[in-house]
Amino acid sequence: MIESLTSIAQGEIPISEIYSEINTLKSVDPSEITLKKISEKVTGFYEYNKSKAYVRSSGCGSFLAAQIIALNLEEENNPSDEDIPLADKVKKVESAIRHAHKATGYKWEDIKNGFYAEAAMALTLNNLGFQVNIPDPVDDPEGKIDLLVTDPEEKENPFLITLQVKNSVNLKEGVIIENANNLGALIHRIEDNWDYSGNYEAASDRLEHLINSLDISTEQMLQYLPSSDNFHMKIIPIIAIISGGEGSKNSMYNVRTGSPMGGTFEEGSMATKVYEELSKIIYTKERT
Amino acid sequence: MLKGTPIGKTSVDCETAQKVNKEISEGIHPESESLEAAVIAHTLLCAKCQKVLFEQEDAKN
Repeated sequence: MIESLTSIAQGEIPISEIYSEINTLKSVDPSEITLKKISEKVTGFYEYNKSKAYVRSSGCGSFLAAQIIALNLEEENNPSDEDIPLADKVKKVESAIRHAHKATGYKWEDIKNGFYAEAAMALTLNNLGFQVNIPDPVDDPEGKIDLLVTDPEEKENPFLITLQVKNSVNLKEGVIIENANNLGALIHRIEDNWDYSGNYEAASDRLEHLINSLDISTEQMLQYLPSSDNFHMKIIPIIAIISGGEGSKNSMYNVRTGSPMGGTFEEGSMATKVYEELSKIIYTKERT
Repeated sequence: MLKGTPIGKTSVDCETAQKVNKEISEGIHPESESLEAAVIAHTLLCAKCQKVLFEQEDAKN
């Protein structure tokens, strides 16, 4: 090392020959540092005051999903800002919150994809013309409803979808959506569309984890939903599984921006697949 | 019931977030963990609530 430094200092060897990455080094955007510091300070407050680690982790994830949605909507409304591409803006936010999330002890990579998928689903439904809302903590005490969805054009038979979104890198089919009351059918479809190629053991473990998680979270969601009889519109509990995330062969959303794949009415796009699946459930006469 | 908040925003308002943050600072956590997570997300997003939180903590120390 010393010899190398001496050679560089004496001008015998160009620095780029020893440290090849020197040409790729870039200064860090000051706003990214600010965002990191603020996120760390805010999450540090909750850690110091003994908020549970998984509550802090969930708060970080909700922040990320809200930011991905906001940045994508901003991009759709004002796509002229080419100096800072959407991927860079999302990366800045993701990097800051990843840093702040470290203290929870949970593995960021395990939860990140789920929040990207939730954001992509919200954007897809919004682009399809649905009204998409985030449930408040009173209606969703266990955090098992990701999105509340209505069709503002449906006046004759209005409905409210309580939607839970899951994500997997192993799903072959882009999107699978089922009524939460038909959990058996949903699990059957997931098993039929599971990709075991690559690491068979890891794929099997992921399938088992997904099914266990579906069993618990679906039951919890169904338990606290009011009966449609006592509500001003039909309530339809729905589970959506989306193929996506880093390592997915058939990701339905961009893993860098969270944007849904393809245009809203483009064949094979996330929006088309979501609409095909959803319309089978919500626009049939017999909605359970 | 089941109305929610339009996407792109957080499910709690500034008033709720600031009230919960003050209570957390005094060692009182909300019964609902879902509410606490929503307050954390809101505070991460909201510069106004961050300012109130940081001033509150500075005054305490």
